[in-house]
Amino acid sequence: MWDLESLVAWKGPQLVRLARALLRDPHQAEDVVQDVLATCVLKWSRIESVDDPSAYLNRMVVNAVTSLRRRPWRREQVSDPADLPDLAVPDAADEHAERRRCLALLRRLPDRQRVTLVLRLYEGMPDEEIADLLDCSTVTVRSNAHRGLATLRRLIAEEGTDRA
Amino acid sequence: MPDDRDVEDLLRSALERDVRTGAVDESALTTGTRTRIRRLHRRRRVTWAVATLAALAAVPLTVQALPDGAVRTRPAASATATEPEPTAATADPTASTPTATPRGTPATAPGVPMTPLPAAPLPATPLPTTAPADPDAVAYDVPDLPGLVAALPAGQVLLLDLGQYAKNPTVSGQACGGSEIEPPQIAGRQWGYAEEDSNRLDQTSVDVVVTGWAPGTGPGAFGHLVANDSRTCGFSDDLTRRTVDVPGADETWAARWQTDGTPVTAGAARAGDLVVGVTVSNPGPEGDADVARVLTAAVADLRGSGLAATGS
Repeated sequence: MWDLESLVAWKGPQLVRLARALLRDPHQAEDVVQDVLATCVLKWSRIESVDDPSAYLNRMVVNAVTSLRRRPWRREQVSDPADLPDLAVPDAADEHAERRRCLALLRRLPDRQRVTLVLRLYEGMPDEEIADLLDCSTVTVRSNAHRGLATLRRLIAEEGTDRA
Repeated sequence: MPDDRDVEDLLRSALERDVRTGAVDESALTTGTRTRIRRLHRRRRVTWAVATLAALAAVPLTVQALPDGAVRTRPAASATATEPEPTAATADPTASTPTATPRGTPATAPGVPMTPLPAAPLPATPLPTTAPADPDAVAYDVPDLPGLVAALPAGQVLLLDLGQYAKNPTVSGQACGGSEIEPPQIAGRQWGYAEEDSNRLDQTSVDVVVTGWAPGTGPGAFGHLVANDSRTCGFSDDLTRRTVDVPGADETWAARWQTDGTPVTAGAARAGDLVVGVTVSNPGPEGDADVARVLTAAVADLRGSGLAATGS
């Protein structure tokens, strides 16, 4: 059995950062990770039997995030403005601001596109694994990634136009 | 207009440099996780109790103090739904698979440094004169109790260690309300043991609570337990008072009761300003002796830690 403090020190920050990247509202990240860590503490005897507990915990976070969003996905409208977060998009005055702006725009993406891009680019997850996690085909994964990047391109271009 | 590759590079850079390095409050994460563990633990107990009613079998329902002081019996949002199906460890003898470790000795995941925890009882810590300002802070850590572990009924395995926390019932089985704990509880720790990590209804389980009270208030806190008159935590079941002999203790208390048909025997002992409560659910024929033995070992552990120096 893990001591909670050790578990948090080992995986807590990494899981929170992953959840922040995955979630449209990054403030939910801590809640999601707390649920995952609590389950981990109580079920360690099961989790210790897996090949890679670290990857297993990552997957628990992804599952928690996708479970959180599963129902809205089924009725989601890609461009539903009501579904967009009220986030300020910073000016791209410098490189750091440009990255922050990119992250803010990422959160405007429909959930499946955003989660797919994060799993690909942040977790380095292969499409097959993403498809398994999101319960879809690899074709859909590739489609979501492509559409996500295209949407980001468009949003970035629109932001540039608005500022000009 | 940027192409897909430009956007991908920018996004990857943003994720790597801004998300992967983002600050995380580990203390808040630990506190929040501990709260959820309590909820899950309580839900497990509630589930067991409901099943007990249906099966006329036995597992106790224990309500514990929450960080916000409220008593909740509504199950928390299911965290278990997030669990992926585990992949069984390979038979590769070179594979590095963490194993369960005793308390205080965390497993080391492959390639990930772990923070070592104290394995030995902590040295005596001067007690503060007032309760800590942070409602979740503890004045000192309750150490591991190796003697207690050795004195448990045979076959008991650790299921739960709630860590350092200062809002506990004195004895597991008490129901706690939202009032401030009075006198101030300044330290505490709970452990849960059972024959196995399962919902088997007829197994014997042991819950242990150690509470540390503000200097000089241990006798008062114990008095609330004896009189069952605390406004914070108390028993709602009808108790049959017992006696228990615990060498080394300043005071003792013992009782039996039933929770939803589950027989429970429990005892508590005070060592200075520390109180240890032991609750055995589904006790065997030696249940009273088990409680006495575990309490005696716990008191010896606590005396040995030096933390019980006051309040005698």
